[in-house]
Amino acid sequence: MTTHAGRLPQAKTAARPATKGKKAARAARSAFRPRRIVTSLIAALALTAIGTITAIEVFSERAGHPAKIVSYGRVANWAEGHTWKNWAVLVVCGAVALVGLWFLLAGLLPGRPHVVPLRGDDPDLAMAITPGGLRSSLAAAAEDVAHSSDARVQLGRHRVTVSVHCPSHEVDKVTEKVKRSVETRLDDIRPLTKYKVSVKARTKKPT
Amino acid sequence: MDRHAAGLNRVLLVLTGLVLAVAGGAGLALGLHAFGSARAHEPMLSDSTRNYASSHSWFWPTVGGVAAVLAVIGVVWLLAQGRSDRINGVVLDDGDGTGKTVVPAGTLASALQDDIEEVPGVRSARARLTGKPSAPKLRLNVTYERRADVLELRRSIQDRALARLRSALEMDRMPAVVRLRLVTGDERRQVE
Repeated sequence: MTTHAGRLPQAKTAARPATKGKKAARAARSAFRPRRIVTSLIAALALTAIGTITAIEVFSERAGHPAKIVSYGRVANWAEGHTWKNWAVLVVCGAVALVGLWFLLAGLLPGRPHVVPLRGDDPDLAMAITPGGLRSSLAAAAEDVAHSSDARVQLGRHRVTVSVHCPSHEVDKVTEKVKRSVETRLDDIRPLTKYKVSVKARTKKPT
Repeated sequence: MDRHAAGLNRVLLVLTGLVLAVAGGAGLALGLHAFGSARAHEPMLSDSTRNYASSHSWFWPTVGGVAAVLAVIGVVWLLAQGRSDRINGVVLDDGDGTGKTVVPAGTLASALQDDIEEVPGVRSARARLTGKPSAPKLRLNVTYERRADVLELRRSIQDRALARLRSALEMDRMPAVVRLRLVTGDERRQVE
């Protein structure tokens, strides 16, 4: 049954040219890009509130029954009484410009995904692993090395730092082996980001 | 919440961001004497602005109309965050143009979930079909325990479960997005 099911895609994967890999990488990267939901919720709520209040104020005023959710008179008086160079006005304008920049950057920058996208050969299949999952798998690879134990993994942007405990006379050998083992595991898992591996050895017994 | 909201979010964020940044920046420029010191000493709401608004009858209705349109855009934008493009079934073309078969999405999803949950170490699998009934897409969340072999899990999903689903539906393509999530905590709690 396994052979029957496995036959179809394997035959296709083998025949795929290298450009498909690039296409697959792009698909994986875009599939896990942040959707900017929190920023959008804030912006949408603000837009709805400001639009609704302004529309209600304007139309109720024209109908002769001002709703007075916000006192137009007070706002107008404040605006009339303050010049552009007044610090309060400058603060308000600066805040509006900053919020605008925040929205603009959130819309334009691709953002870092919360998961680690994996490289594949199939543009129709985007896979990702959680950072915790990757850390745990790399820690297991580090602990597979003889004399190394209690591996701790830190994931940086392009760097993986592995810290293992080992006996003091084995430091060089274990460090080298752990580095190789973690690199091999990374090659197997194939994250989209290329990680540099650095290993630190702890020789003191954990308390 | 699906991927389709992402494009809308980015477009609307860029537009609102541009408007706010330009408006705030213009205010700052005025206050910081970029347009001369006379302009900086003018009040925010000048008499000429007030006169303009009161002497043109179209002014306030236009402001109200624009505000109402913005409010509607805001509501649509809000609703888009919660909308899902999940589909209830997949339409299979019989090929000879004589008829169509609809396979319920739930059946396909649970078959795929059962398939993946058989892999050792997999805690749960949640599949969801989205897109169009004639061109479905798959979103799959798989949670696994520490003892699972990630490589084996990846291979089983790609080469066995997804391949089986594609061949069962006789579809060459079915775009899939898969998240592998490690669950921790339970083992530790048991040890303690």
